[in-house]
Amino acid sequence: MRAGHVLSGLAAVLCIIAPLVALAGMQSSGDSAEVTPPWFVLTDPVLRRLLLNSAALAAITGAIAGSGGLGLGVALATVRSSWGRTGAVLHMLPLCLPPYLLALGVVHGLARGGPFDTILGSPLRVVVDGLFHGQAGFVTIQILALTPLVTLLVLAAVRGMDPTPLEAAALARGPRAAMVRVVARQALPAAAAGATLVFLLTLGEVAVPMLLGVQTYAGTVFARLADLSFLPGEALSRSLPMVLVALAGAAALLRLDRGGAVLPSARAGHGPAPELLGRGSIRVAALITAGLVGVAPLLGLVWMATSSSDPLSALGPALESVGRTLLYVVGATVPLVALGLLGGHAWARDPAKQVFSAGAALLGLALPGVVLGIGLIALWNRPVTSWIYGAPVVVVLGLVGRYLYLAQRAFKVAFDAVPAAEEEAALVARTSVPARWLRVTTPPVRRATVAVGTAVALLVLRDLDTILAVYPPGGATLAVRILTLEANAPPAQTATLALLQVGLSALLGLAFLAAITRRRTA
Amino acid sequence: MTRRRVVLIAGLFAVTAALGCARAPSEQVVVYTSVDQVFAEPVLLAFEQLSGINVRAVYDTEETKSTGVLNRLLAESQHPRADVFWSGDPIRPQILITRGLVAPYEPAAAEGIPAAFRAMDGTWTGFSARARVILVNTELVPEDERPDSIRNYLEPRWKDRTAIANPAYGTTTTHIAALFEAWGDEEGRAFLTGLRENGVRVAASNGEVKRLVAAGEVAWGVVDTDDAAVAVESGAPVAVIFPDDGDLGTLVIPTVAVRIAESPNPGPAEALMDYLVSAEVERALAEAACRQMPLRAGVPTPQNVLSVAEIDAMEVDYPTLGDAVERLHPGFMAWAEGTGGP
Repeated sequence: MRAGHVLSGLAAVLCIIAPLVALAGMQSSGDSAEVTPPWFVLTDPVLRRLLLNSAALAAITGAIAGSGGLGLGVALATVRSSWGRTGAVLHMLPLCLPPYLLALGVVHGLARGGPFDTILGSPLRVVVDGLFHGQAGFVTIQILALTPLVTLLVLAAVRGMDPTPLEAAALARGPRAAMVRVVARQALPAAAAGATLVFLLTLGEVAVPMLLGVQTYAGTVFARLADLSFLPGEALSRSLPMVLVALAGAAALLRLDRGGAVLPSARAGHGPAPELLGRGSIRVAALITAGLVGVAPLLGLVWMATSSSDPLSALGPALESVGRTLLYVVGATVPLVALGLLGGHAWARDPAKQVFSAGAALLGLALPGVVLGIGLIALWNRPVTSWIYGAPVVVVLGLVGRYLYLAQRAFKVAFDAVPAAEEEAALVARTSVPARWLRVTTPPVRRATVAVGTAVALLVLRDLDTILAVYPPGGATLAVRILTLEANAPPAQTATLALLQVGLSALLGLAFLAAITRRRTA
Repeated sequence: MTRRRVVLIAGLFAVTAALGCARAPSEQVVVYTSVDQVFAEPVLLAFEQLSGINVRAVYDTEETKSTGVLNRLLAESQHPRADVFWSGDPIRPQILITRGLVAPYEPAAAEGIPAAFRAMDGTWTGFSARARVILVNTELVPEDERPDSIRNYLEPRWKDRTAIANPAYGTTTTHIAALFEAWGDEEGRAFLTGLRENGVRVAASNGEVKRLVAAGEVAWGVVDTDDAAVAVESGAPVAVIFPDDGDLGTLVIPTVAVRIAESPNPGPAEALMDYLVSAEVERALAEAACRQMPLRAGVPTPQNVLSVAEIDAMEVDYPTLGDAVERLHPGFMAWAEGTGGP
């Protein structure tokens, strides 16, 4: 068993399994000590229909986001146009905000007198209105919010590709065939990994469906731990069918990982030279369109922010929460990247032994954040561990539990594309473990490391569900502050802070793009 | 080792130290509050400046967006972290009292608060109230056609034109439970059935109802007075109606402060409670955008803020109402999910 198996397994136990066991042992409020068994969902037609409907919505979202992200990631990796890159940055902005705030921007933007009313006019507005209400609205918001995740992963995969097969295909069959048969095919596992994450995050989303009046299965789990209900055992029991659906979806998408293995690289490269694939006018147009669509919900927020005379007054009191946010981003991203690297490597090299760790990590992502949050309280709120519970480190534990699967899965895809021969040679040569990792194992996945780190940092930066449950008193992040102020604060202030959040995330995204698109000189 | 790596490792150590450090224990008080942060934060900051006691707060979101501070208090009940719970309603503290999680404390400043709004044994003290009101869009509904009762939800002329917040959450739970107590269970169930049949839109929160009415997407809906005041202040075309005047009466919802049992900072907790229930805070909350109604007589208020004595308030025993909420809430949840009802 590799160290990666052990360490990622320990992290899964500490951050996910142990809190859930502690949650199960918690006493419910009132007389409702009786817990509905998980198989009840099979016998209750309403719950069964709700679960299937929620899974279908998540699957549709994953499929569309996966396909769109594949195309956009390939496009971004294979064009040099500054217009295209600008479109890509705009496309990624929605990833910077919790989907709920994005939905709020859309709702306000679509309101009578709002910017969409002005820009589109009444007939087109009615059409757009239909896109953003009910189940269609939920799927649309999730696609806008999460497709950039897929784009990021595909971009890293393509930029790390060995260009040799591509050059041969471009010469033999032309640029279009090279694009489809080589580039897109090799990027398929990254897109599948991204689609899995979109599926899981959508399945567990609670706030957006509630805002849009959509009933979801995750909402019924949330309701058992919300407001007047304190039914931890019931919440956990109801979560289990959801987890089974998540496992099935993730397993189905894992099969697509083999798509990239058809053309294994001798060594990871620096991606295809854009000039091999033509001017790419269509690709640039696609990126610009994606950018305009991505930035549209933010128009609603900008309109909200400028609707009052004093939007900037919210900034001063928020500075402390900005500092805390950055602390959590660094504090959670580093262990997540490290555990993802170790766990993803172990998963790629010896998949059978990673089943427990990957499965447990999947729980952390599939369950509504409130379930994990209450579990963290149950586990860590004890006199002997008060130094953990009372400190920001409990938030880091929660964030690691929440996003461990994302990090492991993405690195697994990266290491699948790198043959193990060099590592084995280093092992035979008795190279020390640190030297082997620093000089042999990690260099081929350098771009993947940057991509995963950026994706994790963006998700941590906008996290709400996990942080809300356990943040130390007085220790709210910017995203939490936005949400707690949203109740009856002037909309302009909420929108200003949301745009500040976007700005912070955009800086992170720009740094990522700069790192990922820098070409090595021989 | 290169300089860059040294700097990186030093930075990581600094971050780790920052994450691992709980704050050094200077005099502090930890308060969990379900009063909207935009209204609660200035009050807590004022207390901090006045007393020199560091206030560390956990604020709540609207009910359907997070587990809420009440559940956090219940989850932490074995080892409480909070000293004071400042609740936006009198029902949630009843749940804590029932579970023995509250330490009685009668703030000296509570003198002048009517007996109906505080416990004689000191377990809870109410102050600065909201009321459940009808918010109506004045562009959609002429003055002579406006609703004046909660029962208007069931009238055919309002079919598909009204909204109510999800009764499984927040003050709407309290309101519907109060109706069940006043009318009896059978009529209460008929009311909920009637809401569905008359196409009443179930919104995620009172804030969402406010937005729907202000935007003209529905004609009217029931919200809290702070939501209504914010809508009026923002210039939306809305009017506020205190329902059932001369009949059932308007439900009054006082904010409530309770001291958490076995809390880490009992002295500062009592100081904060003394401050919260004072006439000074009642006046501040009346003058704030939430326009909350003082419970004490004689507290100066802006012209457009009524005191509780000036409205026809519903007769309510809050501890009994708390029991009713706990009894009925699972049914409200089932109604909201479409799997049944109370």
